[in-house]
Amino acid sequence: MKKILSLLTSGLLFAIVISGATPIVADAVSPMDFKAGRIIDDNIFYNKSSMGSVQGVQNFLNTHVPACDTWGTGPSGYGNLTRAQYAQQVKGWAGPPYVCLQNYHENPSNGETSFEKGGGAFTGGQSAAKIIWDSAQEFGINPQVLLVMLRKESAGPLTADNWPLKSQYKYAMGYGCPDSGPGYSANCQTDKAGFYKQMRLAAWQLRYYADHMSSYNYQPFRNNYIQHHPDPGCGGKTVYIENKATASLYIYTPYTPNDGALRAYPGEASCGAYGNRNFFMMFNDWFGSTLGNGYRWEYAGQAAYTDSSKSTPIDINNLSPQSPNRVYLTLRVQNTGSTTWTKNSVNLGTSGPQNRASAIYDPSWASPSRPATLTEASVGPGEYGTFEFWAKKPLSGGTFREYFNLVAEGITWMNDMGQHYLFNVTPSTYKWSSVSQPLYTDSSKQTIAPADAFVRGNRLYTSVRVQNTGNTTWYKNSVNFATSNNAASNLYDSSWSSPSRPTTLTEASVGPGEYGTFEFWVTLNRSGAVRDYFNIVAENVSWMVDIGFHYPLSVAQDNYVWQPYTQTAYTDASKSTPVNIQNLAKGQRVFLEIKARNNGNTTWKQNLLNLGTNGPRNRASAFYDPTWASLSRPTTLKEASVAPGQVGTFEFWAKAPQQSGTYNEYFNFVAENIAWLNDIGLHYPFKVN
Amino acid sequence: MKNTKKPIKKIYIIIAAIIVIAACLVAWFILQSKQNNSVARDSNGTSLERSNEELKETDTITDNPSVKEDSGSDIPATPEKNPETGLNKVNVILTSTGTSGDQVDASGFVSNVVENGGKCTFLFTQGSKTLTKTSTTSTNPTSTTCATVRFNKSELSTGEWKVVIEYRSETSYGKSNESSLSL
Repeated sequence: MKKILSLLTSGLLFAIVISGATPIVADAVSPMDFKAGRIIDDNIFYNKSSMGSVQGVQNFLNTHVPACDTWGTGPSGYGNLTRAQYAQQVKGWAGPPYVCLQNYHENPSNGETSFEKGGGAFTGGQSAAKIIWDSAQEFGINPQVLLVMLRKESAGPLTADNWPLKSQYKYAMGYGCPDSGPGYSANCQTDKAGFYKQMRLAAWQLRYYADHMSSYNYQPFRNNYIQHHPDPGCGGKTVYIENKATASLYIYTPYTPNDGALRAYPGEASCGAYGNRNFFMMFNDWFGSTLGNGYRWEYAGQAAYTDSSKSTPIDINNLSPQSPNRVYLTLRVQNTGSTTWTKNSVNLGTSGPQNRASAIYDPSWASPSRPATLTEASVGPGEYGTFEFWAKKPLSGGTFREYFNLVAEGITWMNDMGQHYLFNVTPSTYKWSSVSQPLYTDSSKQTIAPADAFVRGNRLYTSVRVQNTGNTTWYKNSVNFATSNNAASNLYDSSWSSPSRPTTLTEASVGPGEYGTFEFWVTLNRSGAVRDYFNIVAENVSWMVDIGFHYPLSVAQDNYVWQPYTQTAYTDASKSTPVNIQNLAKGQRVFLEIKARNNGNTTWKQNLLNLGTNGPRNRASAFYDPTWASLSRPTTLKEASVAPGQVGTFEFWAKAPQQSGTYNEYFNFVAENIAWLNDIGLHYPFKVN
Repeated sequence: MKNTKKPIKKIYIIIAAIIVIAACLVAWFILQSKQNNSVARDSNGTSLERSNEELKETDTITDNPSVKEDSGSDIPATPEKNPETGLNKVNVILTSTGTSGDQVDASGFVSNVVENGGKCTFLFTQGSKTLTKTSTTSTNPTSTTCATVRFNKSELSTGEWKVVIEYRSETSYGKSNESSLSL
């Protein structure tokens, strides 16, 4: 078996060796494949990147132009004369050097060529490859197209000549020699002579045709009468031209081959014209098929509106922070390919790079890289289609371009036209000034906080009135009052949405120049001079210009002092039946009430000012009742708050222990986590029998 | 044992002969392909070697160096002069007449002159009615384009119209073939 495999392998190798073949082989195109209306597709004709670089063109010339006989030493075939001798002695042509295309250089600024400079490169000279490549890049033409035109137009042609004359370069692209005589060159335009000028003129002309096609005598997507030969007597035919590239070739060389000319390729026929036939055949010979995938488009217009009914245009190149946050964009395009587009198959996609998530993405898009599909159900070759979509206004100010291209989903991206929307947004400025910042004792803003209200622990209500002095509208819940740099505040109040965000805007929106309000509680958490700074922030967008806003507060040390007012005991919570606490039964519950005057400078608050066991403090009381908050906290202030000078109430159940005896139960008031109040020996002298 | 070895050797010889024949056929096929002007190409389709056509082009130059003076273009003959007017008789070609939406358009060119300053006159006639539209020109490598005229249909009444282009410059004159336009 191994021997059989070995024989098979060596047999195949033998076949390849004796044929001398390279494995990649393609069949040649037939001249009968020539389609008069579609000689070459646009996506090939205008693909300026096809050869990669100048070196790509040079490599091609090195491969396809024969080895050069620069000094004409080869046999001329005319007696024993060398080529140089033949040229000078027989034909009256110039002597060497004879500069082949792969060696040719020219200085565009003074017209000097390798013919005067030793046959090759020289300082200031550009190579033919560079001239071809640069022309292709500048005018957006496939350099392969220029090479093929050079082959079909130049005398020789230059691409096959191994000892060319300088005259062959003068009108190498057939530009500027409109007729045949007398003496051929008699009517050539000398201002168009030279390889550099010819190449640039040809590329420029092809680009000009593409950009001004509707003015020309041959146009795509319609019937055009085209002659078979320069002699009108040879007749012609009507051709439906399918694309711009083919129309451009016909404007450049306005004849289409008759059947005889096609059959005779590469020879001649009666009434034959060969330029476009040769272009087709030579392109196929060198670069393969002239037909692309059939998808191509051209820009036909774009617009922007504030509304999807497209009634109100908007200039996206002049947007301000006040402009709507969304704009409705449209793009009109022409299908210049050969394939019909259908809705949902041909979409608009982000490009530069492709499938990029767009900065103007709107949730109405199919995805962040697909703003829209075709509006029309289908758009045939030559017809116009539209794409329409909402776009979010760019957040940041300045100029930027958002690039798009058409994509036949799952098939190909189309020719990139560099299509983009140019946005220019005036940068947002967020500035404000303070108008007033009063402090109240109440949220109804009836009572301005008196001097004695600025005591540690007090809560005050403020209403900050400000003016929007920037150029951007503020919105509630987006624009908030904040501690500067998100610092922890000494004025933090539990009503704030977070320790650094007292509140948001009261009004739904405040435009530039308008006034807004921020209202919130502050708690005076610290005594002494308090300088807590605040600013306004457009959340996730920008802090506003910091104006050093603060309340210049001087907060007094809180002072908790009390004075006894009454102290009573009852059998019931309705306080109807007094009880003698000197004669209690074991386990008996009594309802106790203490009234105390606030003699300090600080308002007492429920749940802050509590009654606590004393002597010692926080002792577990023998008279603990399950209604207490803890073993050492019988109760808190009954009233919500008791201002200085007012009397507060403390009520609680006490339960006599199971052991008889005399108990002096001491209590005192405590401002929790702040201070115990003045100890005046408050106690109940219980006696349990 | 001796009896079993001999048939195996014969099999090898037969297989070897078949392989040699097949190899020759493959080689013949590949060589035939090359003669049919097939060339090796890279993955982009660009040929990696000179084709038979290119080789022939070089041979033609070698055999007849005078082709160095020929142009590959389809070059029209030099226009003749009209002895009466002294103007060159140029060929004017009407390439298209038609409608697109509410627009009428007509295109043409002068095939054998390249010059600036001339004027193209498009004549639309229907019986005794004539509508004239003029357009400027632009030059091409071997011809001169009459800028396409485009105007609203309402300028022409319905029916059959004849269309002709006249070209006139200081040195040349020509009139195109006639074409019809149905509205």
